Amino acid sequence: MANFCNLKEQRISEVTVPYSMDPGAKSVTIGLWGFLDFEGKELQLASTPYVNVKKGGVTGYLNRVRLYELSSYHTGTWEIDAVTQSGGTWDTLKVHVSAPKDQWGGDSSQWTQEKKLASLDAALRPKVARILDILRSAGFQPKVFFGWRSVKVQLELFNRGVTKVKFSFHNAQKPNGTPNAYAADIVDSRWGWGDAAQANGFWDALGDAAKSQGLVWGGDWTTFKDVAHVQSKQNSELAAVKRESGL
Amino acid sequence: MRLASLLLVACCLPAAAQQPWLVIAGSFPSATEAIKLTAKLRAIEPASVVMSSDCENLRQGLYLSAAIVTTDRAVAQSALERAKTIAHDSYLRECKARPASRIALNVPAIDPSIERVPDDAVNWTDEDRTSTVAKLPSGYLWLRRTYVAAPGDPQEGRRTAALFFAAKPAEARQLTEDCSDSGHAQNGTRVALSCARESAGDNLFHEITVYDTSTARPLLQIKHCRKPNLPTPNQLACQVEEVDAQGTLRLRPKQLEIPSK
Repeated sequence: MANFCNLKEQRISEVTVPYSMDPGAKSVTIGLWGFLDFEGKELQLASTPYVNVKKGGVTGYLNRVRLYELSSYHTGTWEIDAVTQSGGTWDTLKVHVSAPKDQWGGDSSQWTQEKKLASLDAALRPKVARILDILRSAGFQPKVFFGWRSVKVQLELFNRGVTKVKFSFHNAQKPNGTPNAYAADIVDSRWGWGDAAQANGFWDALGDAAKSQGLVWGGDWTTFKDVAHVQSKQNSELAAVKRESGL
Repeated sequence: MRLASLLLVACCLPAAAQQPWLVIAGSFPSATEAIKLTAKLRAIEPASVVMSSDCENLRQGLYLSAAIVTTDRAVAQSALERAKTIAHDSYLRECKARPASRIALNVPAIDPSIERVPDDAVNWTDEDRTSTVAKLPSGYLWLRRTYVAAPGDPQEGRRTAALFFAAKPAEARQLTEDCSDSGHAQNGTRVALSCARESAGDNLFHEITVYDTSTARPLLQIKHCRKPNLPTPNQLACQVEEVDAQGTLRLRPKQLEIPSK
């Protein structure tokens, strides 16, 4: 049998991982003691997509421990199973991913793609990731231009007259202020909103990909188009989302 | 009698003409309270919201809930008594109407449809609720702001119709049914109107349409251009909008010939 352990080969059932995009955050190394099954085949870690698992070397007494590095920017508690090749689960590890220390400040359009994705609602995040995959496989070079942005920044933009709204699905947050956007703006990194994006079929491809994921695409709006915009909520839910955001 | 008095109000009268009287049931710094009170008053009077800034002699920057607007003082006095049954501190004031103001032109400051804006609407501002009139070199551009009940509408039902009239709003011709973040220019019978049509990151893309004001017929349309100018009746100049993948807006000048018909 196998069990998860720390570097002293002491059995553990849970581990805390820092929020990976915090400055100076490091991955956490854990071990799987007894990582071979009865037939000598190595166990695999069945992890949620919200935890990155990087396989390391073998260590410990009689080389019985396989090392793994864990990292994540998905705050919450997740589980990793150690499974045999026949599908049996020999141990389970709870992974607590800390809340970010960073206050999500600064210009969110300049954040890394990882951080932009992390600013999305947990249900929207994999859908946007899938859209990016679809577009990449079609030969485009998609990037998330905006995920979340703060209400403060939104108001600054409103006062400058460059947006028509004071609150949008981009501004959704958890009541504690953690970003929880229900919308993302996606562009091709070569063209932005230039004519080439339309001419090369990027917007149509984005619309198709968004709808394939059950999302609303702003290019379908007839009164005011927003071709780069996808969202996981209906417009009629905006007031409820604002309330949910504690605003 | 009351209707006749209303029709007399203001429109296009010379400066020396009789000024309207307002039965003011309430004055408010924002639109929503004035709209609510006006809706109540409408049960007994042809109430409307008046902007105090349309009257030179009134404290500026207020939304006035007016039970009646009439040039007939006796009619106003009679309405005052009825208005007091709803707002007991209603009072009568004369309005020295500013030239080319809404009240002088008999253009409603707040369209009645605005009363139906849901209470929990998120992005409605007072500006979205308030119609405006801009004096052009020849005629007027009326931006009539209304509410359209349209479930799922990304604009929450906000609409700004753009209308042109030479002298009387009753003869206004609609140029476009929706025109936010507008800009305009006029030369002779040509009016160029720019309206925001799309979002592009942190920027808005505009569309410019040049109209013949005698027919409201569009003569020329160009997407992604702002700041219209008509150096001659047959030429449109504007700033072409481009937004790159970093969200940076770049403007470059463009000039087009306007087809004659």
